[in-house]
Amino acid sequence: MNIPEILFYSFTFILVGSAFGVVFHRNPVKSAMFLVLFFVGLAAMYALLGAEFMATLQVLVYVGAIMVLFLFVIMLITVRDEALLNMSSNAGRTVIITVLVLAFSLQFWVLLGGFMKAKGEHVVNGAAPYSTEVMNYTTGEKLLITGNAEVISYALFEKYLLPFELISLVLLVAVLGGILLTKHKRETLQ
Amino acid sequence: MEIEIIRIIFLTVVLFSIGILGVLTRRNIIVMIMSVEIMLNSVNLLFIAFSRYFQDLNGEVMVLFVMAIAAAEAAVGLAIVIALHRNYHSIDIMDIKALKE
Repeated sequence: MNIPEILFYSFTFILVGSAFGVVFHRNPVKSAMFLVLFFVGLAAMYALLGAEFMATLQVLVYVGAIMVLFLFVIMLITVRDEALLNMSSNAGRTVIITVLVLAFSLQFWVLLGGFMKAKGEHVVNGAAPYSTEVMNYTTGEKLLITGNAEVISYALFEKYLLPFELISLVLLVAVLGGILLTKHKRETLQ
Repeated sequence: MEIEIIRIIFLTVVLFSIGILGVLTRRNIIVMIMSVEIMLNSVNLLFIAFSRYFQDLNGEVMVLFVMAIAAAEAAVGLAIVIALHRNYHSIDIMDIKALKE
């Protein structure tokens, strides 16, 4: 077993464990803390797969922005511990979930049968960089770029320029919606 | 630096299933939104794994868009949670049944 595999299994352990922590912890504040661990573990996994730019963004966006939002909301509203739903008390729901999980596993097993046979052939190489050829518009010469962030930013501002601008519009609408939903109604209006 | 893609696919399926389990079994709306985040992030991991596997960066650009949409979703969802708490003084989904009556 080489070092990337050991790292992969460590991160897998952290990810699955913290995801179970989010889902099954009774206190929402501790669920949020497990979610922070989940996001950091996922960023480590991205870095292991060779996507350093996405790992950075994962930490910045999720841990830095979204988790602060979650913790602020938990702080603003009174949260009490929740009694977890007792699975055995609701036999019908338990049967439905079990059957769905079994059917899904079976379908997944059949679907990936081909992959399972060819062991060791389909690998993700984290060290291989992307490369793309870009044109310098002022001098007209072509140059090859290989850095992760550079390649993604070229794709973002050339091929995906319109979706990129539309995403900014979506974020603006989300900000306005958030303000509108949380604003107090003034009683002075007749 | 080589990892078999089948293991990453299994990991993402397990994480997505844990997210579904959280949405189905929890009654606290904030924890349900957190479970949705887990599901979105497991799909992101799959995007990045296949993007690296095929040496095609379109998957990573898609992850950027998913992140932006997830941020917008979290903002609006948590604003709705605050509005619900103001009107019902509870964030338990069992208490929110205005459309039933």
